[in-house]
Amino acid sequence: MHIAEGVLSLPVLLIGASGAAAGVAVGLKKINIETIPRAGIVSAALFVSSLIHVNIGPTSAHLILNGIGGLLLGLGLFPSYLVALFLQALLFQFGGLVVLGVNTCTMALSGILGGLLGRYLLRLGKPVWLAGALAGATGVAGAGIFTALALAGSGEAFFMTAKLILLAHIPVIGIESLVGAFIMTYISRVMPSLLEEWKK
Amino acid sequence: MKIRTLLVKFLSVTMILFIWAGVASAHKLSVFAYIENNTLVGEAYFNDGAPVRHSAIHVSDTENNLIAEGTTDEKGQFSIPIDITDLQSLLVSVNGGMGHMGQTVVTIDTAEPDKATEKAEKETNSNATESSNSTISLSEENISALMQEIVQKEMAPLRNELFLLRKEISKPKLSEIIGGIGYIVGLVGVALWVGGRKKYGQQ
Repeated sequence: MHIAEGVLSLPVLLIGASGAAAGVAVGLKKINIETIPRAGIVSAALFVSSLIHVNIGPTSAHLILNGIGGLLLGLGLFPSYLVALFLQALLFQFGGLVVLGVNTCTMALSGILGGLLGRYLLRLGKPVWLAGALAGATGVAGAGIFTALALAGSGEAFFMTAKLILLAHIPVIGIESLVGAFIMTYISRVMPSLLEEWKK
Repeated sequence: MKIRTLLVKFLSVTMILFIWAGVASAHKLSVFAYIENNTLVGEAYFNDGAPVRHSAIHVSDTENNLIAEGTTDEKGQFSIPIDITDLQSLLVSVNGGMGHMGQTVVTIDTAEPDKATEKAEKETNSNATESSNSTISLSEENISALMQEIVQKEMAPLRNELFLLRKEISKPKLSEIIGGIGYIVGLVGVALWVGGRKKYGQQ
């Protein structure tokens, strides 16, 4: 869900850039020495995830993993995403440097929302796999809606675009729910202390 | 210990992800186009090789004035008739929707050979005698048309090859993927170093 250069209007670009700058500033404060390795791993996963294509149905879409990243990092997802998207723009020409701010905002914000939902479910005492699955699904769906919003701000019809994007990402939503459930079950077995931290 | 095994397993998952990545690629829209017989011919495709179907094409000149519009067909291909006189280059952009957009610049250098043939024609015309003039110019026209046809036919497989090559080049390479992960590992290292110095003091 990278928006290419030359699609968005200037106001949207500016809002995206300032939003991303604020998010990264807040996110950097949330990352401490204990969470730096986690942020790095999430960043690496985000960086490669868009190379994995899901060719189910009429359109092909790639994995995003933003909801799971949001669950693992919280607001720290912002700097993680900035690094991943910057490297993707630089090395693969996905997205671009001008739209970096907008792409960081749409992806990180939706991921953080997914993560918050996941953590809320954990607090309610729901099963961990459910929290992971819903965080993953919400991340992708939210990214689709935010991307459609950014495009709507530049002249495309919102509901049409949102519908197209969400339809194209139904398989991705399914796969990311599975990945989220898998990762959360795994963490609950290997590192239950992390879950206790999120339940507070 | 637990943290270490978690890290190892996380790393192995990342490794699997990126070995997987060797075969697939992501959504960058690329456009390949050229001018043939006053027609803009080309193809738009995503990085994974999927065609960009039924998408709007905008053709503009260097001053950003819209010259022509069109849409891609089921295979992502398009051909738009364009009057290329007085044009040096064309900017062809394809909007694939959902934030996908690709551009390419087509430079036009057919003006020179045209002038050259005109000159040659004039020279032959002036040299030729009155009686043979008409037949010579006619056969020359025929020859040039024939030549064009033959060259185009011969060029077709070459152009195809070039197109496939471009498609291949636009895919992310393994070295770039490893390089990107290397950058992230380096950044984590820097952050840990700085964070460690802050926490434990300069030792």
